Amino acid sequence: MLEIENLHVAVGGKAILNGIGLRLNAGEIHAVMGPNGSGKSTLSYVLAGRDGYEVTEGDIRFEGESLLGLAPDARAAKGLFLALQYPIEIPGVTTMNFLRTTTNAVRKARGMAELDAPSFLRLVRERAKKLNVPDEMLKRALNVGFSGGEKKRAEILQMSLLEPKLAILDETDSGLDIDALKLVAEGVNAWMGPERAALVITHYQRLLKHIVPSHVHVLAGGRIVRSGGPELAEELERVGYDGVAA
Amino acid sequence: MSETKATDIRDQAGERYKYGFVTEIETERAPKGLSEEVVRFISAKKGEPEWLLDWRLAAFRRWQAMSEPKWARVHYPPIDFQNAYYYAAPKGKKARYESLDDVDPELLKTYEKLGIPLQEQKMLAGVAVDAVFDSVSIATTFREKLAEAGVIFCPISEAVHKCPEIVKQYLGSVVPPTDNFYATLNSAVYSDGSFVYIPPGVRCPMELSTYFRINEAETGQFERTLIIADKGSYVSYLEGCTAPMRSEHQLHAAVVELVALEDAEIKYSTVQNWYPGDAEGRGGIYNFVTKRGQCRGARSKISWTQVETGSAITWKYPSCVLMGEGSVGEFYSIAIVNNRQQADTGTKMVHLGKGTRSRIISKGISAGHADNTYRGLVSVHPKASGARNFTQCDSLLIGPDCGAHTVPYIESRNPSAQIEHEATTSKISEDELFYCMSRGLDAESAVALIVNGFVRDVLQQLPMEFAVEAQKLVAISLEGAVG
Amino acid sequence: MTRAAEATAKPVETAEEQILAAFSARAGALPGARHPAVRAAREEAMAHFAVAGLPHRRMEAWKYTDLSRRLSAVPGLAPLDAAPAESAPAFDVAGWRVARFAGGSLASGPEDGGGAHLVRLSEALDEGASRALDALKLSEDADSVAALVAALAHDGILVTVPKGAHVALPLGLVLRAAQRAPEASFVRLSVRVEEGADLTLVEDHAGRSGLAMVHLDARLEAGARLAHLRLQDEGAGLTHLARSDVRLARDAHYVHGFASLGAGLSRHELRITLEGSGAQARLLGAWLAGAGRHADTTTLVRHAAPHCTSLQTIKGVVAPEGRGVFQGLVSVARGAAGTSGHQLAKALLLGPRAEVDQKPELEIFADDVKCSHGASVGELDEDALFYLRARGLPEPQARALLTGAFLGEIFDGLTESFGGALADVVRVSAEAGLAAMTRDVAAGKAGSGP
Repeated sequence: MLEIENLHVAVGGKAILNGIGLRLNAGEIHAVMGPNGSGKSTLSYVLAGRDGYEVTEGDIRFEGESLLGLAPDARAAKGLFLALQYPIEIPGVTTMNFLRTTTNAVRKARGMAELDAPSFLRLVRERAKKLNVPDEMLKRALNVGFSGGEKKRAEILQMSLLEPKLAILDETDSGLDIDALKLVAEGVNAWMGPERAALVITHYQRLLKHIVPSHVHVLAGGRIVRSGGPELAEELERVGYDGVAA
Repeated sequence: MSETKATDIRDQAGERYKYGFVTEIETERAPKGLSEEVVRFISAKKGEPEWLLDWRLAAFRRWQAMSEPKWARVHYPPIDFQNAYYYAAPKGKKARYESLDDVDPELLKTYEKLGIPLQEQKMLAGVAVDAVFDSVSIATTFREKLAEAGVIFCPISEAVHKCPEIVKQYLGSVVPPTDNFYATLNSAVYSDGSFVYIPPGVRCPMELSTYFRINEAETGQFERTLIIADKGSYVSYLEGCTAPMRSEHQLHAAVVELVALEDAEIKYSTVQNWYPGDAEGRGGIYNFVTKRGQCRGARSKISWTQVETGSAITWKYPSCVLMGEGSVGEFYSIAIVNNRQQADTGTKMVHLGKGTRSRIISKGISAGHADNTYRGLVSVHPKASGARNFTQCDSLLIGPDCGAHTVPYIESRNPSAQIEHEATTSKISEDELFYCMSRGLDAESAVALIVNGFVRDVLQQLPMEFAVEAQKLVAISLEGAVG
Repeated sequence: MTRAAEATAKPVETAEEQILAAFSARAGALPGARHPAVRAAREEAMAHFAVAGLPHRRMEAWKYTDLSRRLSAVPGLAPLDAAPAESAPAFDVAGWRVARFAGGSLASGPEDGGGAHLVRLSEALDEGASRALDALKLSEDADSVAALVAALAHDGILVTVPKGAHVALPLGLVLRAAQRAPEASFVRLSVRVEEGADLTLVEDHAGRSGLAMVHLDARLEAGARLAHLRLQDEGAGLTHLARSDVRLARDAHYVHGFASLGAGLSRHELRITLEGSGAQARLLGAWLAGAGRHADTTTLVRHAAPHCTSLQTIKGVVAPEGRGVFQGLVSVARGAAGTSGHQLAKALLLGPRAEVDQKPELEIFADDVKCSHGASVGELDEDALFYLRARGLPEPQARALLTGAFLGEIFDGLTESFGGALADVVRVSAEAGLAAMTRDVAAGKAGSGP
């Protein structure tokens, strides 16, 4: 589904990623683990198509087509979703309005019928309930004044509505207590299926106990220095990044 | 009878200004230019009493000695006041329309096209409309229903005959004919506008609305609106305005006067969508307007809400003079400029009475090569003990070639007054844009969504029926602003 | 008498006419008069003034400060010779270099600049030095204050801090009225801080009566630092008009601290232009407007280059029958991306018949900016006042305490930027000024309270 080939990325002229290769098939969950400054967030932003992240070499292909040069919205329409480490606050735009506008924009781009207000409302209520997102939260401005846990739940709610094929979860565990973490993981697992795939980017292993990866990669200095199965994450937990990279 | 057809011209952007068509209809005009004869002509057309003609002539003589204000941050070539018509009216059998049957069907079609059907059965149930076309009022709907409640809602030209005492008492009492260059000009040549009187204790049963339409070329529109809310009454009033797309500039110099007596409340909303000119700044309306309200009675309240998206130039400061003890003034504003538009708009809150309160929320958005200025005065006089003001002015910039300016004047002469002013200016956040786009919105929709969030506090002040329209207008006004 | 002479002999001369006449009488005797270029510069400056006239309230920049009324009679020009000064310096820093002015003349200058290079303006003009001549030339945005100082200054000082030099001790500029009849004095100060150099400059203004006009310009070259502290504490008989123009090159850093404690009428207009990328300006200060006094603080910060920052914190206190003015413009030029410009202005009114006028202003022509201003006007918090009184403090003391607390943030900032020794002098002077004001309020209350 996703092929990253010899990816070099520079930010502000400074090389951050130095030749990343990765192949992710439908039905798989890959974890990319690495210490601070290893290039994890850069990888998630460049996949989502953020401005300012310059691909100097290599390619990113999604379902066989290159994503390079596509705007973030075009990638979203193709089925890519990035859950941000720090979701952005948008004053004055209610969560409900945001969800409806984005869901319909993506549906329209995929050639699906837009949802009218009542059917959308039903859908949101049903999905929100599973993630323990109360109605009151939907009426508030998006992410404004949300706690860490509320922000992450809102991200997963967006994911469940936009129905992507590939989800990239950037440090989704940061700022979550164990109950919130379980809730978020359940949301991801419920969404996951044989036609879908996830890339979990994380510093710590604890999220991977709840979202179990099929593959684990270790990122250091802008390169993948080791790849393996879920046991690699456990090894990391025991010996630390220095031990694994060495 | 008359051979008329409506022509629909649209610029290449298509939907951007969809009200830019011209109604082809036979028109009667005053001689071109401005003179005592023209003033007499207008007065005679309206069959005005002697005192009103004298009032106009005094204003005209004074105006001749005045010069245009230059302090606003707007730039335009000198206006030739002799090269315009000051009165234009659709030709008809009668000077005034008694009922819709008298109105040329072409005019009715025009309003239908503007989204304002004048046949009562087709209208929004809760809104009464006075439709002003160039210099005359075409129709005022729901008059009977309003009359049952004792509310007078009619063209001001008619009010002069129907309730001369009230008109004589209040006309020019808030904005005196000597007030400023454009108000004085308006006093001399105003042609029509709306008059509202709400009797004591009456809560006006429906929204009142005036729809202004400039149609004729080379014609200025000078309407005058007077609203009086008697003791303990309430009224919500909305005005809308559009004009055809023409390559020359047209002048609109209106005066609006509001009077709120004891415990009365007036809510005045404007959705200003005059033709803004094209991308190169050709054409568009010069909107030089004087709007002021007096809270004369204790605990009275005047609230201005404006959504300013049109006009080539906007020069407008809807103000509140807070005379009554505990009276309240509010100003909520969205001003959007794009392409070569210029806006210098804001408010004055003049605190004269004890315990008076005011609140100002201004949201300015600049795009293209446009300039947007908030200019506001909060003034507290020595007797206004315990006065309170809160002001929040935020500006958003879209693109490197526009300008956003904030010029507040804060003058306090009472130690117990508390005044707080906050202002911010920034560009639309790249984080927010990326976030919205990563959720599937294209750049333009993302900007529209963020901007609508930015202006939400003000949109919420609009009556429900118009908030949705205004929200769409915000998005349309910014089309083409993101590259 | 000829008809022409009769026509010019009007019963009352306007202030402008008085000044023009004084200039004609004085021009030949001013320093540098034997150099045609110096004379030409002075005449041009006077011509500028003749056209512009004294500022008045119909000029937007002087909307709240009308000089034409205050200066209907202009005091005579101060004699060219130095005279004993009215009072001693407010600051006493061990070993610092001090230039003392009395009546507009340099009465005593330091032996050396402690690392800075100092030149007396009158001498440099007599020599026809180009730097001195430049000091008399008007910039494009010159107003009548700058023009009058250029035309009439008979002394001043030119300071240069050479490239890379670190001047350890502050340089003091003490400006005093002379112990003579009320007179008009004009002083021109000019400071260059060359690349990478740094300097602390302290201005100390005092006088009882007359008219004192001062124009300072400072140029900070790349990476230079200037810490500029200004204390102005003058009598009700004095009109103080000052203007400072500061220009910053790339990565230069400027800190301006001030306490404007009043004169009959005082105005300081501070114009800062951030011309090089990465330049930073910090302004913080307090102003007081006592009974019958008028205090005007006007700042203009222009961001002309990308990635510059400016931050202003300004607080003022107005006594009954006093009037305070703050005007502050933050302006961002087209192309000045990455600008951060913030300003906070607060004013406290202590009693009736006090007036405050504030005009914070943003003028933005670039989109990649973060700018803000906040302004507030009000009285002391009644709850806090009650709380203190409930804890046993008499009202005047409670008021003084809270008023002091209102300005506390400023003094803390001054300590941080200028060190405790200098900041304490400013704090003590300001507190003395405040104490006098709150005493008046307490006395006034007892007399006219309901």
